[in-house]
Amino acid sequence: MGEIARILRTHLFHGVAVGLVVASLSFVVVNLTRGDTALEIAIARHGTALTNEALVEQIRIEEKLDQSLWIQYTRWIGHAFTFDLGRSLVSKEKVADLLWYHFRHTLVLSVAAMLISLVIALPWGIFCGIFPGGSFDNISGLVSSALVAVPHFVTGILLILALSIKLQWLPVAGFFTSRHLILPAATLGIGLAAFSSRVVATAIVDVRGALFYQFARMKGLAEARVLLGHGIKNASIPVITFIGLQTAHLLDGVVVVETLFAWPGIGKLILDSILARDIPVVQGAGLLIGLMYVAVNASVDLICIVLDPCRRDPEAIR
Amino acid sequence: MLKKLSVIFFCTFFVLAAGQVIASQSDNTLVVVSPWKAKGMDPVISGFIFTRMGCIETLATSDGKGGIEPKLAKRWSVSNDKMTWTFTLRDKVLFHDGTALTEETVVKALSRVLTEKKLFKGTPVESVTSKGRDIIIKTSSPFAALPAYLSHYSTGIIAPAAYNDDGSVAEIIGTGFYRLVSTNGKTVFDFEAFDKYWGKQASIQKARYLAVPNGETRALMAESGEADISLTLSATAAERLQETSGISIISTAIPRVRLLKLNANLDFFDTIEERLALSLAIDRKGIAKAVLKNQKTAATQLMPEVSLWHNTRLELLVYNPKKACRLLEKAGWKKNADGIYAKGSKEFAFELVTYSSRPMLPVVAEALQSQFAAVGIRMKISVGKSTQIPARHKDGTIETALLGRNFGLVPDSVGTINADFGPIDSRGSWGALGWESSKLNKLIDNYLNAFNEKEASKIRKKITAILQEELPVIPVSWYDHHVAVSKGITGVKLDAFELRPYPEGVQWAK
Repeated sequence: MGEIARILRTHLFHGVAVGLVVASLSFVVVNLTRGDTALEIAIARHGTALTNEALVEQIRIEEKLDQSLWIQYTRWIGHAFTFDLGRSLVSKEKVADLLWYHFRHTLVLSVAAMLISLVIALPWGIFCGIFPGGSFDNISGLVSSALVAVPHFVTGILLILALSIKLQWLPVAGFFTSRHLILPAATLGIGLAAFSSRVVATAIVDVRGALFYQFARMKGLAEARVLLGHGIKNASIPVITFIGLQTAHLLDGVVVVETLFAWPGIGKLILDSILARDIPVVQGAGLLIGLMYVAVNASVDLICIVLDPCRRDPEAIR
Repeated sequence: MLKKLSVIFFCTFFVLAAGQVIASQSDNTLVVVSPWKAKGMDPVISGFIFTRMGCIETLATSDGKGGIEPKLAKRWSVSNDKMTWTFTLRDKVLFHDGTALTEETVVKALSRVLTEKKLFKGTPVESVTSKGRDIIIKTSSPFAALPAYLSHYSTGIIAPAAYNDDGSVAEIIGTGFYRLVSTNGKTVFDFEAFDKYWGKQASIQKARYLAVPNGETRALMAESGEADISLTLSATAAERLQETSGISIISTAIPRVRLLKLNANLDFFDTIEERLALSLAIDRKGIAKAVLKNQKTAATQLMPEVSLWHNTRLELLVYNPKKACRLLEKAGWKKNADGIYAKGSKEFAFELVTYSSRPMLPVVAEALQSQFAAVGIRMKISVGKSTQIPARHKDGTIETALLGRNFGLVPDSVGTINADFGPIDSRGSWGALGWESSKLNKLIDNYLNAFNEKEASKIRKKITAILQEELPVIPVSWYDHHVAVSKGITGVKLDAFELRPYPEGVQWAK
């Protein structure tokens, strides 16, 4: 329990620190890039045809972009400590609302993609791990390399052509019902499964070579029983660490998939905000992503502690 | 065990999904997909969605032929001094919340755009007031194009209840034939027919607008039957869908032009001969056919046929590389050992700036690069963001730029013409640089004073003749708007200015 509390405390501190550093870096980087923020905001709001110098100057004053960068930054930090992330310079919506709307869509997509990848990767990886070096394992290696190498937009379009256009089973794009989730989640999940299956296979090979596993087999226990009773639990630790990293990556937002399937995720929001120099949104997103990475790391650490007694109580092992 | 579980999981998932596909197909909703999401719930920045879906309305609108016709204003007139306009509001118009359209509401909506925000450069509006059912707009100088500006989406009229206490807009409550019933983020808007609409009721009871940024996805949605109207498709996708059963493609030219912006302060472009030589080196038909898939989009003058400003009497821009070489030699340029024109040690070499948010621009830039190279002109392409063009115009560092310019903001392009080619001190950052014509400035003044169409038409011809002759910018190609329409609906008409609602007059096919 003490170890868990220590981990939570450490990660909470890391979360705040990383979030603020990322948000500050976002502010610096966006402002370092060449261009006039007021002009970019005017174009993002009204398009190039309507943007004129008077409008740009009006926006500069209204949004206080004429103040020094230091004042703008300290104002944002001050507000952030009161949980106020400000308003978008383009839409004038609250940044927190905007981030939550997009983040929750990304979260749903990421979890669905992860589930699909696990459903594919676990049996695939375990089978390869049980028969390493066999023809199935060799072919699997080739297939997974190919699937990892195929870009998401190619997988996505192939799935649309097969399942939406040819078979008419699933909708092409949108986010209205659970069926709209299947294609974008499968697009992400298939690539991820290919990768994860190799990690699972390696973990299973390692576990099957371990002394405790050999001992159980020598005691006369059946392969399936040893695998289910001891092997999978022990092999899951590196797999969970890998999945944690992948989840964090998915939660960053996968712009290509979001764009292809018109899924309102956070990746597209961040890209659009960077292009429009919508600084409060970029900073807010930086903070959120920083916190999210730390939260995922903390979750992975906690799960590993639950699964691995050596990490729960290092003294007991000596 | 795991295999069994995964099979059960997938079967359940797909059975549920298939059930929902059937459910949605029985839902009679007109689905319109477009690349554009809302930027916020305010007509000033996102009115294009709500006017195009028939939810909010303006005082005037496009007549579909480059002219203007009444909408919420039933008529208008101008005083003898041509500086006071009177727009008489239509009676018995209700907002979607049941309240009546009042003069105060119209004054508030118009003032936000015309006097408080500086949205339309060069519109000399001084005040917006009301008297009875009349809206009085005073200008500081005659401005014949005012009704055209009142057809722009930003001047859409919304109900008093749509505003927050601080004057910002909280929701969209319009007067159109569709009322907004729900939104999901800024990409999905659901509408229902408004049964107390003052004009012709919508035939289809429900409509949905969905923003889909990827063009290929919009095309696939048309192909799968998910979208009834898929807007802004690429020429390639339109060509492919033409062969698909159940879909028809409607294409219309729009008043948007891909043009070469020149810095006439530079030695390369400071004479008409040099600019004309550059124009003659461009094989517009080749680019239009090979790159843009439609030879008719070759811009033989600045404005396409759909514009009031199209001039049938002009000597058209043609491709003649030999003449281009002769003109360059006449201007003192001689080919060096590398086959590039040069004056002394200075080569005819410049940088072209363009941007990728309009996907065809970099491709057209490459075509131009090779066509210029063929006559002995070296061009380097720099692809970045569109905002670098006004920024580098302002500091004078831009040499040339390839950009897509919208002359169809409102049906009369005089505002954009003035901002791009008018007096330098009031000129914007997208148009000509280092070029000015006092004759053209005077003609623009005269045009703004011309309240008689015959006179206005003559002035337009003179203005376009100057632009064609002096080439402060070089037109390359016009834009086409390709739309895929399901054969399950009828009555879709495209307005080149995109001011009229897409669902107007649309019904389910029998």
